Amino acid sequence: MTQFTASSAAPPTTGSILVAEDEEDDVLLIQRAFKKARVANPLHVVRDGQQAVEYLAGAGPYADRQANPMPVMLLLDLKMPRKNGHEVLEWIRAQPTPLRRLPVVVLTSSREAPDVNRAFELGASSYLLKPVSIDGLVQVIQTLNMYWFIMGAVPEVNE
Amino acid sequence: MEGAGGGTPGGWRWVLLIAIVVVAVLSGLFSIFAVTRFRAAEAWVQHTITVQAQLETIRTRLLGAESAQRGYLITGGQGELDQFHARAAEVMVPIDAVRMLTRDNPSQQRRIAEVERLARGRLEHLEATVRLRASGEQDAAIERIRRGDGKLLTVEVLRLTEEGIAEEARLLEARNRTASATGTIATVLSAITLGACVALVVLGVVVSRDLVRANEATRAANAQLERRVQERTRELQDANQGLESFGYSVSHDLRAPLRSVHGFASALREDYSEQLPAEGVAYIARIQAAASRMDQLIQDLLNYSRLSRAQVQVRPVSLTKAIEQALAQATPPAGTPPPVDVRVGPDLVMAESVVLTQVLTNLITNALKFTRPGESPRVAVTSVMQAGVVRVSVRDEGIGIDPEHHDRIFRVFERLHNTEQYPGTGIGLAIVRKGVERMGGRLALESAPGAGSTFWFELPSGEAA
Repeated sequence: MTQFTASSAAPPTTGSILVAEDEEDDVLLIQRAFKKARVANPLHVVRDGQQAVEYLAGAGPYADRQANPMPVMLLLDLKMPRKNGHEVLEWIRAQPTPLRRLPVVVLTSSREAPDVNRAFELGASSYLLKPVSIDGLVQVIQTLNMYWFIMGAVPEVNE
Repeated sequence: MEGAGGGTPGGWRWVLLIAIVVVAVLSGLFSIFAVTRFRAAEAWVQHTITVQAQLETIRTRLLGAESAQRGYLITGGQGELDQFHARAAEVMVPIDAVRMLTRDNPSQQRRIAEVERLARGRLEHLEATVRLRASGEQDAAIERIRRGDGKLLTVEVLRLTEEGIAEEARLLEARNRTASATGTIATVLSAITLGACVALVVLGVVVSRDLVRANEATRAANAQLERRVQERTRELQDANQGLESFGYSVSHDLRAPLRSVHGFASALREDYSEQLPAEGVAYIARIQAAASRMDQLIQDLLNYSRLSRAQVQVRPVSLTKAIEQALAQATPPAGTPPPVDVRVGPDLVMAESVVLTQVLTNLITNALKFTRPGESPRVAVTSVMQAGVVRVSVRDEGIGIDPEHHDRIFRVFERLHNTEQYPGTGIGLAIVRKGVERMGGRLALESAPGAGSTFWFELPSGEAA
């Protein structure tokens, strides 16, 4: 059944990825890294935790699902204004299916134990560290793509 | 009790207490002894009086026998004769009694023997006159009395018993004196005992009141200590919280601009290097190198601060495995393993495995790094056991360290060389020292310029645990 669904559904690699990141520079670098890593998934960007919640809920300016499609993955920064990454994660896991099963990959520069532990307690799918160099970041994105979209499978999130 | 030491205030009370107890016990024992003696002396007084009374009885009975003889000689009646025999028979009873009572007195014994002899002679004499009167020879009997030899015996008995009574009187006086003296001593000793007991009670009250007060003081001090510990703990928790949030902001905020610097320098080089002179490209490389170094600094600082506040719980850890991991970390990506000679003797040490690996990695990396230009490094890691403690040494034959710098190299951000000569953040050895300290170990350095360096640390052996 899973096999059938996975093969018959639209290939997940084409699904969009939502990036929740408040640093403009980081957004530019992430976009550049995706390009360099040749990952084709379209990127949608929200600039804080509150916007991330609104986007996923299809609320306010994000009601139009044509322009703001439901992502197949959330790349989540932890330290953001209004709502931090942990709060966004907690909110997602408290939603009804299918939204609650959205893969959430934390992408942060903090390897502090409280950050990591809390993220996994709240149901993070993965925890990746932002390297300082762009080459490092490209590697991270390539690995992410390889693991999740080429070698692995992501669940259905669209209603 | 420690109070008996005398050095503490109130020590004199314990000395006094012991002194009073000794006095009470001794005077109590002696007064018991004295009372016993007093009662013995009193018994002797009683005894003496009894002897005197018996001596007196001898005299009255002998004279009684004499007057009964006279009565019979005059009347010749059967009643008077019976009277005489009865009296004569009674005379020997008190003599026997005195002999018994004065067994311990030789002069009295001699005297009573003489009294007995004389009394028997006298009684025989009386007997003889009575017999003459019974056979009708009344004149012969009277003639016998008139001769006076019988009377002489009586006089002698009276004299001797008088002497005996006088001697007993002397003894009585002496024994009275003894009885009186022992009585006085017993009284005095009893009084002392009583006094000591009263003093003991008073002192007991004083001491117990002191103890109660001391207890209260201790309890108050403990409560205050408890409060201060709690306050201090709260302060430490606050400080720890502060450090944690510091680490948090360093992790998140300090690195973001660094990524921008590095990332956009990269983008500049990749996208526009053709439009830049070689010098411009070199500058970009410098910007990137600086950003990388800064990132390493931040990482080391975070490691150091994490080590300072993390809970470090030691348990037996394999040194061999920790060294293997450290060597893997010291190996550059896709490089060959570093030339390190590992000779592990005792293997198990009490440590925290992550911290131990970090300590070893930093020491090995350092040992490999500080070689003379053009020379290849030679590093040895060994462990030996000394009295339950394992000493792990990391020895190199590199440039060595002047003894005047031996202390400062363990401080955060201390460096002896510029980063072109030997790259590094200046935190590695600070982490080593902090790590060894947190695991309860000891760290030292033996080195001189040109003679290589030996860093060693000691941790308790994990064999027994």
